[in-house]
Amino acid sequence: MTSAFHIDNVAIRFGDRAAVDGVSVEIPRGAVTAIVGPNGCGKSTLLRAMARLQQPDDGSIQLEQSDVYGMRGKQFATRVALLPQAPVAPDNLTVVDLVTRGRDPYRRWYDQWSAADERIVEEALRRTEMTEFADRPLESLSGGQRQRAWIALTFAQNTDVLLLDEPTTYLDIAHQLEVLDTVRDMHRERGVTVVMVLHDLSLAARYADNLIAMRDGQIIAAGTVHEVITPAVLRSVFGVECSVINDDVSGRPIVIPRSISRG
Amino acid sequence: MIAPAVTSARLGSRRTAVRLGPVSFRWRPRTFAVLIVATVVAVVLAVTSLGVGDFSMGFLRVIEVLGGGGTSTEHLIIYNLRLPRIALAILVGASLAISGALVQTTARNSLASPDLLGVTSGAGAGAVAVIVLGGAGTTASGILALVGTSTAALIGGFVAAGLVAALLRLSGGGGLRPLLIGIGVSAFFGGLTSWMLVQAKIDDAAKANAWLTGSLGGRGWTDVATVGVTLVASIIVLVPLSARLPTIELGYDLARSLGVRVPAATTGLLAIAVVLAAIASSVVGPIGFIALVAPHLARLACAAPRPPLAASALIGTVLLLGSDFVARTAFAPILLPTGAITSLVGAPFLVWLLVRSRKDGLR
Repeated sequence: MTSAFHIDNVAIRFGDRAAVDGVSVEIPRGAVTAIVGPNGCGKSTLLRAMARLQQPDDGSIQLEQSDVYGMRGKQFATRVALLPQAPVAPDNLTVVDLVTRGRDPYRRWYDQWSAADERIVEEALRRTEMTEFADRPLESLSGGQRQRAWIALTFAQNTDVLLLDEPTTYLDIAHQLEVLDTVRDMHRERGVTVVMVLHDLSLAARYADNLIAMRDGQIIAAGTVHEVITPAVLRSVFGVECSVINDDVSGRPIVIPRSISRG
Repeated sequence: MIAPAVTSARLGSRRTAVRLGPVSFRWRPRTFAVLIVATVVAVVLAVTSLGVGDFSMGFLRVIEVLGGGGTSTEHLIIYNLRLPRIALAILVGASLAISGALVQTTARNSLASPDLLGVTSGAGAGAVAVIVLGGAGTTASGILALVGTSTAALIGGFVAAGLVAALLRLSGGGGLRPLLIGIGVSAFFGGLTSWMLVQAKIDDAAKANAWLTGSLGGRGWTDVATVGVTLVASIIVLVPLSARLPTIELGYDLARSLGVRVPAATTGLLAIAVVLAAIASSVVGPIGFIALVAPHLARLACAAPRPPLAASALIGTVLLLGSDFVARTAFAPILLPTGAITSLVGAPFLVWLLVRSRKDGLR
């Protein structure tokens, strides 16, 4: 399998603390990869580094053989889209005005609207099932609808790679599924490479093809969902004794926590 | 194609775009209506205001004099005495409002404005330093007189802005913190100004004090030109730069990932805001609250997610023209300082904003 991202020996330090400590990993192209791990394990920092927002102190990150930090911002923005954790929109911003911003990397300051842009924005709204809410302000929508509007923005950006930082935070279970279904559809229809940081192990196991499990800034395990979701890996990553059973419906592993590991 | 074709297209339900050759933008009827109404109100206020005073003239008479008619006395009164004051109200109102809209949007804080953040009082301290220390007979006069009040106000404004930025970096921003730091920095420069006034000779102090009350009176065409050139230059820079504002408002990470060089763009926008506020207050003194109130009114009137710059400027002009009109007529023949009127209206507005922001969660 070919890689979208080639991450080589990356280290990121905040003062004395190494948030990411010598990470090397390949992110497969055209797949959904989830990064999991306990709080403060460096998973969001690693994602930000891939999004060209946090330059590593050591090592390199390459996107399709070119150095992420050697690219120009606008050029990178046409290839990689990011949905940050818990984004906040100004009051009164309508869904369509938000989604329109996804065309920014392609536009000059004097050319604010074209027919092609309009088609892509309408398409983004349709794919995320947000057309009927297009002229509504974001604050009038439910948490799940709001998050879908942000995903529509990244859709309009029309990139090959989509990075999401905890896209289901603060959402209840129905809205979590609604958001991740939208991401999965986008992946299936356009073959987008998706990398997301997820808190919830069962959601990660359900929606991702590949998992990266991190602890203390290092990668403990990386591979397919079945390779990573094992009692041994979960013990060393989360410090929890678990049973792993297989869901007959989805064919995905399900984690049942039993107790906190001793020692 | 040489002739620019104007085309418009219906986008979805209520969205229309206008294209003029390579230039295209979204057509927003409500913003356009606000611009028209504000312009009409500003013109009526300006002409009425020109006719008011010891020598009063009717609305149509003023228009006649402006068109070249009227007696030489009328001409003198309109062109030399009243027009500089009205022109200054128009330009200063627009400058302060744009400055306020830029600070509010880039700081993503509805309570941020150049006067509340100490820029105005920093500019004031700079200008007073020149007036007081630059007076004849002091050792510093040579250099300071050369620097001039405008430059000194600019330096003072940037020092204050830098101080606020540094303190925000130390304490972390968010919530009411920028406002509290702004109050602290304002108090510091206010104290500095008072100290200079105590040290000053009586003539210089009187001159500085008249300036410190914030008044549009007694200014000439040179002052109008200073503010006018600053405003026009700022607008020229802002036309391309302000296209980044809607993206910057989505937050640092998202704006960066949409290809905006956020630090460079915000630094540029805030620098323009400081220049506009500092130059305006170097000429007329501290005129409070226009920079805070006008952008909010523009945002509410246009039902926009952020204060539109053009509408903010026109509403700022209307507010200052109106305040100046009241200052000149309310207790005539006693003239009130214009700054007193804007503060009288603006302070309750700030209280309302604080109450509302507590309810909505401060942003």
